[in-house]
Amino acid sequence: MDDSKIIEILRSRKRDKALVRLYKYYPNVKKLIRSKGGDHEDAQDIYQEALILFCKKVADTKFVLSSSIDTYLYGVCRFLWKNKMKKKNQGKLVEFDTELKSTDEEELQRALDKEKKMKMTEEILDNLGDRCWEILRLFYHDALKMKEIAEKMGFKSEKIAKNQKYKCLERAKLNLKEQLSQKPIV
Amino acid sequence: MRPELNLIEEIESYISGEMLANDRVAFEDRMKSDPELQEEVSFQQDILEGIDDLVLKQSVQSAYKQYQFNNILKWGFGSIVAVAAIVVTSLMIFDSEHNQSILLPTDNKEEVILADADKYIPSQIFELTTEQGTVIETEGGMIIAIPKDAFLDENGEIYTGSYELEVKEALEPVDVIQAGLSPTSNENMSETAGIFFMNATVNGIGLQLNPEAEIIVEMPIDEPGQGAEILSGRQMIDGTIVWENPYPVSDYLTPVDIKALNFYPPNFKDSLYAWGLNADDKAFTDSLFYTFSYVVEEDKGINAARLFKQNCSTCHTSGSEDLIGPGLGGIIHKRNLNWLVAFTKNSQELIRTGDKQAIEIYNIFDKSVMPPQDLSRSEIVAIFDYLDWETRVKIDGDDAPMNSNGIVADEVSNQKPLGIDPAQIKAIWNEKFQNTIIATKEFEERLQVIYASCDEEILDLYINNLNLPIYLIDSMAMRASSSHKMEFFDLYLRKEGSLKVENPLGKKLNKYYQEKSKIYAQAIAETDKKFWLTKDRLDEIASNKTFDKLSDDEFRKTENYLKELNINIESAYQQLGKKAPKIKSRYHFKSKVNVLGWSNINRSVIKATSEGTSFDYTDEEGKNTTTNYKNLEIKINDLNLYDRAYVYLAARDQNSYARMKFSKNRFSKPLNELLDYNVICIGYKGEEAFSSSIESVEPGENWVDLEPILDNDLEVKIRKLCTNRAGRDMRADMAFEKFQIKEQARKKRNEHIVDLRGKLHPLIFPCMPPPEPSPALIN
Repeated sequence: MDDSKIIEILRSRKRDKALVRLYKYYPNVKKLIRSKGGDHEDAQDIYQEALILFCKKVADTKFVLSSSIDTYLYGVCRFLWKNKMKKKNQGKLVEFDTELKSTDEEELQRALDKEKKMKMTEEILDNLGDRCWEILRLFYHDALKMKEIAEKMGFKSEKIAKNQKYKCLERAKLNLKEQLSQKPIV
Repeated sequence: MRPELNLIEEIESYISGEMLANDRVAFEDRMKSDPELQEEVSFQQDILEGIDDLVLKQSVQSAYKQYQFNNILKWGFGSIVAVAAIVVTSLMIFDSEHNQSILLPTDNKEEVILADADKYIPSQIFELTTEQGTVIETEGGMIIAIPKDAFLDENGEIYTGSYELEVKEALEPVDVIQAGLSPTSNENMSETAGIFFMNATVNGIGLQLNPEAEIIVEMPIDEPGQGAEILSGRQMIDGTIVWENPYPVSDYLTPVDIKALNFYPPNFKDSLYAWGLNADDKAFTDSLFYTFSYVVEEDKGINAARLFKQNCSTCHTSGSEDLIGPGLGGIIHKRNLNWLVAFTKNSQELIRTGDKQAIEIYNIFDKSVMPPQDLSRSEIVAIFDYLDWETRVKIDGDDAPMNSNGIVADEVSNQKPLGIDPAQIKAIWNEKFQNTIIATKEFEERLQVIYASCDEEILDLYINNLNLPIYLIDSMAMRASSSHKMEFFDLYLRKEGSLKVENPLGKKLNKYYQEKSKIYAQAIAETDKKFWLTKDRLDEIASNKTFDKLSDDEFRKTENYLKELNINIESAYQQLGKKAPKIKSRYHFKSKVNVLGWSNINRSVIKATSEGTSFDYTDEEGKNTTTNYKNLEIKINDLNLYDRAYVYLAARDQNSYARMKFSKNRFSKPLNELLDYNVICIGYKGEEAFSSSIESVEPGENWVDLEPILDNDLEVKIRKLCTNRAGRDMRADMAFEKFQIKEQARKKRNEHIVDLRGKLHPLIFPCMPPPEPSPALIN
């Protein structure tokens, strides 16, 4: 499976398949993180984050890969690790070349900041309860019709399912509001 | 819909772009003037973006699982087993509104093998109700104890009513691998002792686990080992499982393999060793020990006391006084049990066979006939056991009002013996107690004292308080015991703790185990009954078989005889140039021998055939006929190396065979020169067969070397060298030989077991007076 094929699949509904393939580059990253003082959990976190950033980038149809995926992911991981080390060392400069163009680095930094912001929303959704999460995912992500969802999840009618969906969305919004009022994003 | 929800719907249609152009403009105007609405829209957008983000994140995590799983497959299961730490992995999901039918957003089935792995494990559904706590056992042997009020409904209220508990289990490595479950949460490979899933639903809607309730799960584990821990798994939306929150299974006391512990009474195994028995064979020692179960008699439904009253008490007392017949108290120690059973079943039969003891009794009691009793062996044995017990209680009662345990003899149930019932031990000596204080060296030690105390109630203390530190139970035992206070006090002083298994359901589990104990007792009773039934049946078969065999032999001998006779007669006729009469059957044969004239030849031939000697005959016309027999001798090299050896002679084209006579270290038989013979020699060393064969053997001395042969090959050989009929008969003959050897061994074993029971009784019930030694033992 070559890079353009992987990107094609990442953009399709079979994204999961491509993601598994992308793990073939993981051992190198693990080696890298370990050589820079991280453990396998760090490596795992970094690689997952890199994959998420990569997927989001790929989702933008204008995105053109300038190097191989392998090189790109490796670079992103170097960047993410450098970032993490900086935080750990309380802002002290870390001598560690990411081997990325500065424009790429800036772009990554923006994406990373956005990720941080999204984290709270994700947590809220994750804690919404399985049934709420499922209905939201099926509707907004999988783009299933309300009727299909009602059947699948055993709601008596489409109307009840729809009502339930809005209730879940409302709960998520309320939680988000509450969270934001408690600890505003720094 | 509520107005709030209507607003959400409106915002949604705006965000999704479904809003009509006019409405859209109006909505944007409203937004400009209403910052609150603006915020609502922005929040909603955030949520929608968050949904995509979370799905992506979960996909990435799931991909990682798949990657790990592929690695496991690549490296093989061996590397998992090699890891020392055993992780008892449990997957418990009680998330509210959990729904099982999550499908991945994919249309390609092959690609979700891991993602929804637990789909491949069949569900076990239990219909339960919250009204009371309950204990269930799964197909895989997991025991799940669920307390009352264990679940909450959607509103967080305690749910009452019936519900379905769904359990999926992958307890074997094969199941785990086949289902594609990953036992690992990080890259350190761990060995799983099993993975299971539980979910409670009402009409398809999930219940939540009441945080105040605790469900106890006992998993069958091969090696508990140290460092075992339970992980709870959080099932991700894509079906993968994240393992987290490990906590140790045990802490203070270390459970060991319960089967490796010795729960027998003191000196039980040592005595078996001393008597030269294989005490290491647990199947054997168990069967021996459990047959002493007294629960057996109760549960069998045999009321020995009633049986005695109904069938025996007219003529016998349960003591030593004689009525019409002798007093039967303690009779079990005076006479052989088998003899007693035989006499009870049919005394006259025994007398007819000339049994000295039977005749003696018959004479002593004025030749009054004891009628045959229509009782089964187990019933008869139960009666004698009861009589034995009766006697002892009486002796105790007369000599001392209190027995060693301080219990007034009268209060002792007249059937229950004093001591620990082996059925009780069977109930606890199994994997089900593997994760309790029972499966510890500490308990093993205590059990020895419990045996010595003969107090079942003290054993119950330990079984009923599995959740307590063992030293607390020691203190209870100390208070409860009348005879062994000091011993329990010493144990208490050690302050040994408990397994760190919280067990609020201990009582429930205990009840379950009590029921189990009953089931065991029944099973023992059944097995026992079966044993004696089988024994009776085998005895019968043995005698039938012997009879059949003898008549078969007779028949075959006659048949052989006839066949050969025919051949000989034909040959004789041929030589005389005459057509021979056909002799076909025994009956036929009988009628023919009386024919005059040619019957001379017949007779002569018959004589020669039967004696295996040559004969010479000249008829009236001066024509001459001869039949020659020459002796065949087979000698087997190193014959003394074999436990047994046979030589079969099969005449070609004849439907039968003969086993050659053995005397003076050789097998011999005269051969008819008119026939062609094959020889098959078979020797056995134990079960191992050796063989050799000679085709178209020549009379005279033949030496053979036997070579190892597999049973199958032997059969093939026999089929080749003999006609079907002959081969079949020969094999039957061999089978009979084998059967007889086994039969002898079985009979010996039975006698042995009966004998052994007598010897073991005082070890198992130390507080009961020792049985009087049987006359055989004195001699």
